[in-house]
Amino acid sequence: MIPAAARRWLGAFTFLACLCAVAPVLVIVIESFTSANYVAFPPPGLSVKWYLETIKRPEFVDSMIVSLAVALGTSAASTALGTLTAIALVRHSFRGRRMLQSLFAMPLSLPGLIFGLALLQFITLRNLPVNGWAILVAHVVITMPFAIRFVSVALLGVSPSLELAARSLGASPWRAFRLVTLPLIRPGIVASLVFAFILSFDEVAASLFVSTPTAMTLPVRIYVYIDQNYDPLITAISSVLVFAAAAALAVIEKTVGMGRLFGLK
Amino acid sequence: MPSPSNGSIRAALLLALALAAQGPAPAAAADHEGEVVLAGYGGTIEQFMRNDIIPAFQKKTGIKVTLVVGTAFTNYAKVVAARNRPNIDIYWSNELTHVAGKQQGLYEKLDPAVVTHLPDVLEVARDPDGIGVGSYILATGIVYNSQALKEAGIAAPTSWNDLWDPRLKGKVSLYSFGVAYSQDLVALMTRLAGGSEKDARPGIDKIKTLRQSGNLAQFASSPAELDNSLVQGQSWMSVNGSARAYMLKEQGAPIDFAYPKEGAGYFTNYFDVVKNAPHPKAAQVFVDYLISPEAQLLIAKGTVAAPVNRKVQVPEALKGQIPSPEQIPSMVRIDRAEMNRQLDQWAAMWEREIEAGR
Amino acid sequence: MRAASPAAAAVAARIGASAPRPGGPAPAPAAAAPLPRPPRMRRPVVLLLLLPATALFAVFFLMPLAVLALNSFYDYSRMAGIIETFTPRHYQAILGDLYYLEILGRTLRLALLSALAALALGYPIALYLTVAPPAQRAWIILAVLSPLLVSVIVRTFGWLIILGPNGLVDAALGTVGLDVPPLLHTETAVVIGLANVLMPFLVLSVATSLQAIDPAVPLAAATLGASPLRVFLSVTLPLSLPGVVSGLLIVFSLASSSFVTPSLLGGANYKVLSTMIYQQALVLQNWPFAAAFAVTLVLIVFLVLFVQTRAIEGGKYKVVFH
Repeated sequence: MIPAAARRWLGAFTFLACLCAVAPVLVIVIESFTSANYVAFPPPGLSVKWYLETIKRPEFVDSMIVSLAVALGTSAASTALGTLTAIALVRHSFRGRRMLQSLFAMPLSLPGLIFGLALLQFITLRNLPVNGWAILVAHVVITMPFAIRFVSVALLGVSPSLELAARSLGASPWRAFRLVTLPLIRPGIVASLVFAFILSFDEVAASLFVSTPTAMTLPVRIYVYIDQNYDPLITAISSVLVFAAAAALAVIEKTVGMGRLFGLK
Repeated sequence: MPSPSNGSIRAALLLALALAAQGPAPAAAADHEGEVVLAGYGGTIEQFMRNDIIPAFQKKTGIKVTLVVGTAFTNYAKVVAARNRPNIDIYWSNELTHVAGKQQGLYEKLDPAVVTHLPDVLEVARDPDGIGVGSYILATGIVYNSQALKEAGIAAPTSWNDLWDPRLKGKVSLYSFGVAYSQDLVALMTRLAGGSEKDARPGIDKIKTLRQSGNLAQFASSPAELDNSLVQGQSWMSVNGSARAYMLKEQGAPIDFAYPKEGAGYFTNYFDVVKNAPHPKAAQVFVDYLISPEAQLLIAKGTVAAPVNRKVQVPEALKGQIPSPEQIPSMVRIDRAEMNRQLDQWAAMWEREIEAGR
Repeated sequence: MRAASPAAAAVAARIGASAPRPGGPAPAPAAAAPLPRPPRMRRPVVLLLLLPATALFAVFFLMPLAVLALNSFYDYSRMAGIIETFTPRHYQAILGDLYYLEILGRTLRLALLSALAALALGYPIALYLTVAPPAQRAWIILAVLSPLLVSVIVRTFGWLIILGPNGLVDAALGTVGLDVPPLLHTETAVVIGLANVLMPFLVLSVATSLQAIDPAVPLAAATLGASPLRVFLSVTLPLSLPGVVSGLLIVFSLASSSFVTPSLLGGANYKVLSTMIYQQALVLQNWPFAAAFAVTLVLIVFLVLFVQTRAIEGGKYKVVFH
């Protein structure tokens, strides 16, 4: 319902805004091809040696795999739990609902640094082992507010009377939900999966304290690396992630279609 | 503590077991737990630890090493958080966390019977209470962008006062108080003004003049940020550790380091054995190895700093980049205990007077 | 809630007969018929739905938070460490010292500015996403998400290179002849940095809301004579409010707790609460004080969130949220 002229303006604005959004990433990617041994922008020459160097660092590759595993687990768990919670919060009014909603949003405003420290303290206080599960739990707690929010927003756009109608026609509550509501809130669920994944992959502050020697996520490894060495290696590593994400998005676009995945028609 | 007879019987049994299992013969006392956890640094330090030192140590003693990688402060937070049930045996501390942890009883004394290389360690790198030992020595001095200075026609710095050169308006950067070298600078400037760590007011005032003159315009909250500022030419001069500066120089950046004639600051990182650690004996064995000449040579090369073991043969290429045995005694030894006592006040003064003033 | 139209009932009938039908939401004119409330699900079911998340939350968030709150009332001295006696002096320091209050105010102001900047940049993008050709959509989504793919430290260094003196912006402005002081180490730089990375949350939140709008509704408004602008302001915008509010809250909360970006892009002068927490917790090891800062921040943002659920979600546009 947007007239063509407005559409063009919107398109131009979007283009500029996107350019600003990718600006720092572009700088990093360009820098990753530097031939110099230190970070100087613009690069004095071009080379792929920092990518070759990345391959020679198994600890970074290991961390990428750890981050991937943690992110996948976090994404699934967060979205599942978030969806259940969103249904309860959106579809049902009960005493204390607003309080609970705000409570679930609390992790967003707690700096990751202090959450990580508090969690570490809590875990060691309770004599629980500090292992890979700690990171997963921390990440799920951190990403759950997003899951709840995105699914809630999607749920708000679906009339509950649809499910009601299906129920009145004989479908069981679970069936009605699964076949009517669930497909309609798919955009919210997809958004939740994608964001929980990205956030978990990107999380550094809390992970610093609950990472273990064998389960060290990539952002943490980058952080401790840069504490000692400032060189273009991390730009190459970051660029690898960007390329991987672009490739993944290209695949999704070819198969399902990005827009459709997010529910855009 | 096991009685001597128990100890020797146990040692004999373990030795027999070791021989029977055809494992590597342990060098020192065979009385250890078989594994050890070290909380250390990332980057090139992690590299040479993983690739060189740890394999050599494991081969020599059969002790399995787990390396926890972090920063001085994040590792310290982990040590403190888990102090009732430590899971780290050796913590690679910096000057501040070494003395702070010592003060709060977090560390164990080194056992001279196991850490046999202690007498070879330079006096300055040994802890007066026998708790922990220095790992490598570097200097706190002036780091500068040699190309930028040359283009501006400014001579390379030789004195602390060169930071106040009026031609450097807006071109001096310092770490914010969170990084050790700025903490040291307060102490160094206080001494330069004739005072002592008991009252840092003279040092704070001196650094304030640097800010008020317009020279000091940038603060970096992390080493990478300062590196970036200097290399990109956003600032031309700063106060940093020699290791970091020479590392950049080796990478080809136009960075250089100067030992101020009034005295550079002495700085070392320590190996501290954590109290109630899960593998205390293995920890002592490992510390002993880490200060042995072969390990010290690797550490010195990897960190671009001076070894603490006086028996190390320093390669020629490294000599110009590290404090020499002649320089080390003349470096300023800051009263760390006093600094630790007053750290909160120093931090408050730095934040509210130096960083805030524009 | 919107009333089910005959078309919707037909759809539901087909679904009730077991054929799954994913697609857009059923048409539902925002008509005048009283909105039927669904039967309240039985209490046990609600509790069961909430149980897993709440349990996890209670154990692994609320309990550490309680540990934090407890710590914030402990005393601390450099020599003795944490002293487990009750003292409110940390809170007294925070609320009584103008220096800290200023930092608190700055933190909230930054969060608000970042949220608004993200909205200004993100809403048009979300709007465009609903009408863009599919090929473009993929690129836009990649572009908008790309800052999140790069670690926060690396990305902020990218901004350092762009915004610093001798940086790209400086060089670009220089060629045009403008001599503007470098943007680095100003609040503007921090807002840019935060909006840059937090925008995707807003874009996708709003886009989800926008796409749920039944196209029949703005069409009906247009048919009734409203100009495109009027349609947007009176129909589209209000109906996208849940996504807008959600997005704003996410951005606000995240911006309030951000550390790396304000520290690197704002400079040492630009201290926010997270900076204080880092310094007290890691550098000075004064956990009680750091905990007090953290608890203060969380409580204030919680209040903001709670107030808005009453004000906005319970207010004029209540109907959109239920």
